Amino acid sequence: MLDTLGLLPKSIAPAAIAYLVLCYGLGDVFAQRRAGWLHIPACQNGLGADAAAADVQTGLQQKLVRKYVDIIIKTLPPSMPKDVVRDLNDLTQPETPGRRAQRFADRCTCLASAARSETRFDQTIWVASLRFVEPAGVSNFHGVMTRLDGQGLCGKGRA
Amino acid sequence: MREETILWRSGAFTVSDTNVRTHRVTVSLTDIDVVEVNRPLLIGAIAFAILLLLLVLRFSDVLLVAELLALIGIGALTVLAGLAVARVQLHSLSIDGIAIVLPIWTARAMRAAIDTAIRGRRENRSARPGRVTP
Repeated sequence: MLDTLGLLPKSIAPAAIAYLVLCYGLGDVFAQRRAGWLHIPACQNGLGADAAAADVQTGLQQKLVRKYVDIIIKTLPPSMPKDVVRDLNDLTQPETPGRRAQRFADRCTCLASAARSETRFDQTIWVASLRFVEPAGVSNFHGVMTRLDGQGLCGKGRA
Repeated sequence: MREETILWRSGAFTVSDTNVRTHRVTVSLTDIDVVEVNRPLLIGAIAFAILLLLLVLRFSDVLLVAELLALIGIGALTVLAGLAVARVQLHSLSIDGIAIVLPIWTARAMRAAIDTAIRGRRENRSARPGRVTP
């Protein structure tokens, strides 16, 4: 093996190092792009579906909270600052679809970014092998995001 | 004492009819047996360019056009650098392969000058009076 290596031209070593450095940089760029195209939309869809399933229960809870907040507001003395009343009212307001979508987008982007950092070596191997080798960090990128979400890395994990 | 004639000069490198001078050493022409010019980076540069080309082909769906062109450009420049960089090696029994890295055009000119100097020296020696030549 070492004899064979000795026969290789010396210029192969800097070329190989340059190629690996390039693959390290491109791996992250490609991971970011693929996350934007595939994983973040899938994550947002998943969170949306989870939220829709939880909405029925949340609706009942909100009705109950609204009832008690109304009671609290009625019992407040008139001298109470209006900010407090407004904050209490805000507590019972359902989240608007736009705000919810933005929250999901932020969370999924954060998860994709964390997953990218974690799978950086795998992405490099994937690029350096010209896609012939697909390590777990690349093939199961969404799984890594789900795991990180479960750990509560980017806010509250999925219940 | 006879003055030496400068046959070729480029920067710190000089070839005269008696010796070859670099910025580090001076080698007498009598010590030089073989002058070799090769391209030390060429194989690595070609290998790197082929890998870049394969990257472009395999990742054409993920790459942007600007990145694709940049990779092709880097590959082409690397091959040009591999072609342009040359190493002149001076071999003999008494010196242990002095190597000088130069652009290929300078290396070729230097080699031609050394060859001319060595040839001229041999001709002078064989034409010396009193010497019997077959």
